[in-house]
Amino acid sequence: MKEYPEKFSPRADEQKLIENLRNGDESAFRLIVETRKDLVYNTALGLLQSAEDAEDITQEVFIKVYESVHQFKGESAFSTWLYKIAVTKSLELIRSRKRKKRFAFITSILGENNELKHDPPEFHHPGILLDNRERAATLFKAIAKLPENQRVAFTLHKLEGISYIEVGEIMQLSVSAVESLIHRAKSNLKKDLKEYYIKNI
Amino acid sequence: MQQKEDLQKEVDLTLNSFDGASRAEAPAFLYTRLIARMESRSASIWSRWVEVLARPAVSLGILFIVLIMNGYLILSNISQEEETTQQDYVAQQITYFESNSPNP
Repeated sequence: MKEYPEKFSPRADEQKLIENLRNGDESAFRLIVETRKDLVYNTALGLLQSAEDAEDITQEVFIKVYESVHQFKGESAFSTWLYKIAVTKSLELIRSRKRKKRFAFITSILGENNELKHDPPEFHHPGILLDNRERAATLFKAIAKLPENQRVAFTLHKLEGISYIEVGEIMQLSVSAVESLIHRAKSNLKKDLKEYYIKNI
Repeated sequence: MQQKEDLQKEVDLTLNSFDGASRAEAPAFLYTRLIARMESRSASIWSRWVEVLARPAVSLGILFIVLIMNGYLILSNISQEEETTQQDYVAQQITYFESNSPNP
C-alpha cells in the first residue's frame, strides 16, 4: 500500500490520487473519502435535511465514485464531479420520497391503513451559528417547498458557499441561468417567509 | 408601518441565517461503514444470483432449454448418420460397377 502525505497540493496530487484509485489502490480511496466526506455530507444534508439520509447518500456517492472513477475524464474539477453525484443522488431520494407520499395519500383515501405522515420535524443544521438556529430552521422549511432547480442552486451557493460559476458547472447551466435561479429562489423564499411570519407573529 | 418594517427585517434576517455557517461534519467511522456496505453489496450480488437461479420457474426453464438443445443435437446427429449411410451405399455401388465393368 502506498503512503500519502496528509495534506496534498490540489491539482497534481489529485490526479495522481485518481489514477491510483483507477488502479484499485485502497489507500487512495480511503484518502479521497476522508478528505472529501464533509463536502459530500454537507451537500446532501442541505438538500435532504436529514442526518440519516445524508449519511446514506454520502456512502452511495463514494460507492459510485469507486465504481465509475474510470468515467471521470478530468474535464472539470474532481470536487465538481463529487457535487454532481451528491446532488443527483439526493434528488433521486427526494423524488422517490415524494412518489411514496403521493401513493400513501392515494391509499389513505382508498381506505387502507396507510396513515399520512405529519410534517417532518424542524431541521437544525449543526454548522449554523447558535443565534441563527431558529431562523435557519424556518428557512430550511421554506427551501423544502422550492422547485428542484432553485433549491439546489440556493443550497449550494448559500450553504456550501460555492460561486455561481461552479454552481453552473455542477448543474450544467450558464452563470446567468444560475443568477436567475437564485434570484427567483430568493423572491419565492421572501414570499413564503412573509406568509409564515404573518401567521406566526 | 412599524410592524411591516419588523416583518421585512425578520424575513431578511431569516434569509441570511446561513451566513457564517460552517460545514457539517460527516459522522465518525463513515469509511468503515462504507467499506462494510460495499462488501455486503458485492456479497449480496452473488446471493441474489443464487436466489434467482434457485427459483423453480427459472431452474425448470433452464432445464427445458437444455433438454431442447439436447434433443436438437441428437436429431441432427441421426439425420447426419442417415445421410452418411446413403452416401456410403452410393459409393459402394459405384465401386462395384467400376470393378465389374469390362475394360475397353
